[in-house]
Amino acid sequence: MLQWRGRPLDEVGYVLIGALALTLGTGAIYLNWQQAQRTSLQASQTRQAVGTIRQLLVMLYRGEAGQRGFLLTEEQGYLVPYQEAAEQLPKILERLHLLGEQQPAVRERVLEIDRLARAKMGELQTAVELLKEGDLVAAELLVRSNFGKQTMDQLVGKLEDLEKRVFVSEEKFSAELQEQMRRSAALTVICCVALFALFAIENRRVTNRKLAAERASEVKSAFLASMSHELRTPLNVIIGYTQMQQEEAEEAGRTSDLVDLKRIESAAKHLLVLINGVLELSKIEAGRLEVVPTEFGVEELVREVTGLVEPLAKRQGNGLTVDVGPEAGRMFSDATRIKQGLLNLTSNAAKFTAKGQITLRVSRVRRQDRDWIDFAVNDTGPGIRKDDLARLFEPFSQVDEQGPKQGGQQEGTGLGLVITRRLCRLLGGEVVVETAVGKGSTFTMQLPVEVTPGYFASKGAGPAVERRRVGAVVLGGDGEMLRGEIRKYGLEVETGWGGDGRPGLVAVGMDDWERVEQLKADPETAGIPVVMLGVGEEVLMKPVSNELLAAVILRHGTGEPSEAILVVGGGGTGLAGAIGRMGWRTVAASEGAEGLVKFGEERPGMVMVDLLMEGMDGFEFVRQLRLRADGREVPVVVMAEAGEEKRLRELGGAAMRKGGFPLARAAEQAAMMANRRMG
Amino acid sequence: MSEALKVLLVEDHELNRDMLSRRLLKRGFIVLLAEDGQQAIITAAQQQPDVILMDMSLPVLDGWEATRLLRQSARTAKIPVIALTAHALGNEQERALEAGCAAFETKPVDFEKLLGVIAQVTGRVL
Repeated sequence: MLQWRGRPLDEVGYVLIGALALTLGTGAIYLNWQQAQRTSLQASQTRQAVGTIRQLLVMLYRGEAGQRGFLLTEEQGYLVPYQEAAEQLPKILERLHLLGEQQPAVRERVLEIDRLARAKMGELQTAVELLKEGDLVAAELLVRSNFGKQTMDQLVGKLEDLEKRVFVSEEKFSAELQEQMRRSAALTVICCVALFALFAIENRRVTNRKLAAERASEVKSAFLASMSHELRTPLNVIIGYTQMQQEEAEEAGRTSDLVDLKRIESAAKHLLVLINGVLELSKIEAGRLEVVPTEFGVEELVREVTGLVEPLAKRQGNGLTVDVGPEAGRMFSDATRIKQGLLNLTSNAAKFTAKGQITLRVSRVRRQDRDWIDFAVNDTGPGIRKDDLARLFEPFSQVDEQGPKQGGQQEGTGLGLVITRRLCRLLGGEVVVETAVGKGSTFTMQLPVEVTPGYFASKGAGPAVERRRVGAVVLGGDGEMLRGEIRKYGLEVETGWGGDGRPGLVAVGMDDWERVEQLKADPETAGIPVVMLGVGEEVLMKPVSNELLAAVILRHGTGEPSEAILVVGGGGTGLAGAIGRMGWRTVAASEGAEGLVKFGEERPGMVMVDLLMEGMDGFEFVRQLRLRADGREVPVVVMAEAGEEKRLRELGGAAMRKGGFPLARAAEQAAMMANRRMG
Repeated sequence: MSEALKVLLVEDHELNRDMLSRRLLKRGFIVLLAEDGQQAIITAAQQQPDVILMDMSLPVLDGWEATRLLRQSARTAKIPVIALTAHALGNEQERALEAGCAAFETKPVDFEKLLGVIAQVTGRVL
């Protein structure tokens, strides 16, 4: 297609025609309006002229009446109207001449009237003066001569004729004016149509451009995805050979080579992170990123992220403060995506701040009639210049020239903020920035507490997910204390069996085995997970739901990503797999003896153990573990089945307490409190 | 390792094939090679490997189709296939599992993890 300044030529044609029509139309309306003004000016002049003619007539009659009265009575009073007429005549005639100038057609008549009026006035004047001099006879003769009457008759005839002519032209004016108004209206309509057409063309052009942009974005996403694939293949080769060479160098004791090989591997892995970032972004842009909303406790989520960021913050000598408001409560959103965003923001803050302070403040706020959770990450770093703010959310626009760098490693991808913003928008929220150069920056993720199902329906990004409430019922024990414990799981506490069905979890006090037996004996309640709350250690009664599992791990795990969770037993790889899918690193052992070996090798941050296993069972495992110096303090979660209570109690008495786990005293205290209450 | 595992590595990318096969050899595997899906089916039927590592984007016959055919043949139906792909987009894993793969690994391959997966699908302690 032919183009003119980037636009197709036919479009340019329409725009030109439209613009021309608009210009001409506006011009015509202006001219027409000017003409109408002239017409109405003429009309008003004419009305004035008619007034002048009538005034002249009235004045002459009054002058004549005054003169006659004076002749008959010789009383001076009659001279007043006559004198007035004599004074005003020149002014009125002047106005009449103006009419003659405006309308050349009546100029002759105006001159005639002027002459007659002056003659009449002359006759009146002569008579009055003769009388004043005492010559009554001469004055009377003059009046009787009929000259005055003739002049007057002529004058009246001429004036009436003039008035008629002037009046006719006023009718014409009003017709003209109407015509001009009609023309203006028509022209206005034409202009409006032209304007509308121009608007429509422009609108279509914008729409076309938008469609083109969308198409371009799709193409770009597909390109990025395939490019990522092409990039990953050679990277696969580089990383693979490097690792192989490292193994060989290690075997041969070539330590100097090892350093260089590690550098190659780390650079290649960084490149991989970069490519993954690009891929992630393209997935979001293509609308292919699925949002999986679940219900979770805000505090738990924050704690998890904190564990990951802390080592990074400390490397630059920063302090990390986390402040989760007590009102933060629970959220129904995509925890993985929120974690990802939070991780991006906090690690960014840690990256650009040295020997400063990083604060993560989480609060629940009300905006636009909805509840939001604000995750605000504040740092005391260099801040961001105003000029840079605009580019901040653009890919690869990292503003790192003023930030402290750590020897050129781990500089990030420059995609973190872009991805975070997209993720937040995906969840119905936004990222906002406040910053001051030299003082620091605050990045805040503002996310709705609940991602509405309608949001997904409209985006087609995933099925509407039904919200699942996990309530917990506290039975027995010290109610308040247990409730507090339950809240640490991020679960809602219900005071009794809810009217609408079964709770997601039942919590019982420490050593309250009778109650567990009751629950497990009744088929109605046998399927509900039971957690026996002690302090420092947990006993989970099967079946164990994923939520419960996650809550327990979050409660006891250190949050250090480097530390694994050792799963002993757990039905083959089933439990370890479930925990692994939730994002934790797991080490699985099929029974107790293997578990002890793996414990020594891996030094896990937490242990989960089944009671019943082939080989060494859970009881013996815990006993052995607590006898070891390195196994005394690790948190152990025991998963028990109904029927194992009695031996478990023995174990609790014999092994756990004797082993001296960190919160043993608190556990004893809790048990005592519970007993007192129950007793 | 009690008895050496026989691994069939199907990979069209020469360097990737060389690298991965050398690493497997070092760990004591018997390594068989194939460059495309068709070759993979023939080699699998004749050599009866214990496990197949299959790149999915292959010439002649792609990995998904090859896996499907392997599943249909009585001689190869029981050999576990581990899919290897550099595509990381969401449904790759589903597609691979649908085709009959026992497991799925994304490239670049985490070698130690891959060994674990091989142990898992073959039921052998390496």
